Amino acid sequence: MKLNPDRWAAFILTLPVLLFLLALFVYPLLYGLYLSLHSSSKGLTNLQFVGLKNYQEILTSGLFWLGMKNTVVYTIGTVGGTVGLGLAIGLLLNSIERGVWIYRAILILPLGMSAVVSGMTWQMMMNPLSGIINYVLQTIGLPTSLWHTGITSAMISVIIIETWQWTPFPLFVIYAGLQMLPQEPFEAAKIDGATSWQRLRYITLPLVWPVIGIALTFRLIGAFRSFDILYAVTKGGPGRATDTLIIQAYQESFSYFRIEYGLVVGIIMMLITIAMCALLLRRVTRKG
Amino acid sequence: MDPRTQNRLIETAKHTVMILICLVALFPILWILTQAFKSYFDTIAVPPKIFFKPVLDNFRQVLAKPGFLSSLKDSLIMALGSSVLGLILGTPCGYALARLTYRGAGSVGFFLLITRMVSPIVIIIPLNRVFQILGLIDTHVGLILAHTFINIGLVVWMMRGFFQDIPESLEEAARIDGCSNIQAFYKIALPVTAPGLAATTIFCFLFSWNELMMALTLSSIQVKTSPVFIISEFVGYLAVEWGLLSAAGILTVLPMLIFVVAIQKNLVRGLTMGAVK
Repeated sequence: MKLNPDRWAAFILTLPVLLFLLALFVYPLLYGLYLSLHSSSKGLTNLQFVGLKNYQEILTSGLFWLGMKNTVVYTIGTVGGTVGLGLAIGLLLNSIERGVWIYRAILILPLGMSAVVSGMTWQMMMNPLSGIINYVLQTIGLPTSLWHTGITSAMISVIIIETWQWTPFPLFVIYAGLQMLPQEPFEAAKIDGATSWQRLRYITLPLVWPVIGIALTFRLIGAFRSFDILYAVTKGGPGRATDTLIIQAYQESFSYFRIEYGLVVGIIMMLITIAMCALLLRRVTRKG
Repeated sequence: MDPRTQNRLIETAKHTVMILICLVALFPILWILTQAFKSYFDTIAVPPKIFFKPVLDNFRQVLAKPGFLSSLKDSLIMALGSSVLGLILGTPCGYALARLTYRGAGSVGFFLLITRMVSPIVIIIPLNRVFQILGLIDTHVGLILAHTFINIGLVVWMMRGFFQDIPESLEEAARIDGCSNIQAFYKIALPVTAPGLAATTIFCFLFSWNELMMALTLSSIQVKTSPVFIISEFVGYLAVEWGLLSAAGILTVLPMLIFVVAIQKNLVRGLTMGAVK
C-alpha cells in the first residue's frame, strides 16, 4: 500500500509542534491532574491519594463560588464594555472618510501597552487623594470615588481599566468587517427610502454579525482568564471585592502554598474554556 | 437648512466625537508620560499638576537603578528567543493545515487553538515542579520554552492564514517540476510569505514582552523580565515611587507602541488568529 504523500508530509511538518506541546502542555497537564487527586499537605514528595476530595471540597466552598461570581461579573462587564464601545466607535469610524488613518493610529495604542503598565498608570490616575480623575470630578462638581481602593467601587474600576485596554480589539475587528461589506444593498435601500437607522438595523448589523460574534467570543475567552490588570491593580482586593477565579488560583498556590486549590480551579477553568471554544469557535476554525 | 450645511454639521459632529474618543484612548499614555518628567514632589502634588517644570531625574535614576536595564535585556532575550523558536516549530504546521488534506487536521487545529485559549495557570504549578527538577526554573531557557508555549498556537493559526493567501498555482507548478510537498513548503511557499513571517514575529514578540503570569511564577532572581520588575520594584511598603515607575513604564512600553502602529494592517488577523483578515 502506498502512503498518501500528503499524510506523510503533514506528519513531518506537524511533528515538531506536537512533540513540543507534549512536553510543555500535555505532560504538565496530566501531572497536574495526578497532583489534583492527591493531598500535598505533607510535601510534594509524600503525596496521599485522596481521589476527588479536593474537587468536592473546593466546589462546595464559599470562596470558589465567590470567585466564580466575581469572574462572571468581570467577564460580562468587560465584554459588554469592550464590544459595545468597539461596535459604536467602529460604526462611527466607518462613516468617516477623512483623517481615518490618524484616528486608527491613536485608537490602536492601548493594545500595545503592557497590562502591568496600564494598570499602574490607571492606579495613579484613580488614586483617591492625588489622582487626576477625582480632581477633575471635583472641579466640575461631580462626586468623587474611592475607585480601586473602595470595596464597592473596585470591581467597576478594574472593569473600566480592562475596557480601556481592550476596546481597540473588537473595534478593529468590527471595523475590518464593516470595510468588507458590499455597497449594493446600501444603495438599493437608500433608493427605496430607508432611514439611516433602518439601514443600520436591517442591513449593516445582520451583515456584520459574524464578525461581531468573533470579537465577542475572543473577548469572552480573554476576559474570563484575564489576570494582569487585576494582579497589577487590586490583587483581588480590597477584601475579596475583585477576587476572580484566576487571581484566587494564583494567590492560593503561590502565596499560601495551597497548590490543590490552584490545580483544581485551573482545571475547571480549562474545561469551561474548552467548552466555550467548542461551542463558539468550531465554526470559525472549520471555515476556509 | 440646506442639505450641504446639514452634511457639514454632521461631519463636524462626527469628528468632534472621534477626537474626544481619541483623547480618552490617549490620556493614560500622556499622563504616564508627563508623570515621568515630573520631579518627586510634583508627581504626588495635590491637586495634580498639569503644568510643571520638566526634569530628567526619573529617567536618570531608573537607568542607574540596578536591575532595570538587565530586566529589559531579559525581556529582549525572552521575546526574541520565544519568537524564533515559536516560528521554527509552528510555521511548518501552519503550512500543513493550510495546504495538505489529511485525517486529523481539524483536531490538530482545534488542539492548538485550545493551547492558546486556556489560561496557562493550569500548567504553571506542575511546570514549576518539572522545571525545578530539570534545573530550568529561573533560567532563560526555561522561560523561553514557557513563552514559546504561549505563542505557538498563534504562530500556527496566523501562518496558516498567510499560506492560504498564496495562490496555489505557485506550488502546483513546483510540484510538476518534481518538488515534494515539503520542498514546496520551504522552497516556494516560505520565501513568498516573508511579510507574514515578519508580522507573526512581531506578534510573538509583543505577547512575550508583555507577559506577566509565567514570568512571575517560573523566574525570580536570575531572570526578571520587565513587567515583573515594574510590578515589584517601585511599590514600596509605604509609598509608590510614581515618577520612577512612570519613567520605567514609558521606556518599557514605547517600543511596543511603535510596533502596534507598524502592524496595523495585520493586527486584526493576529488578534483573531486568522479568523478575520
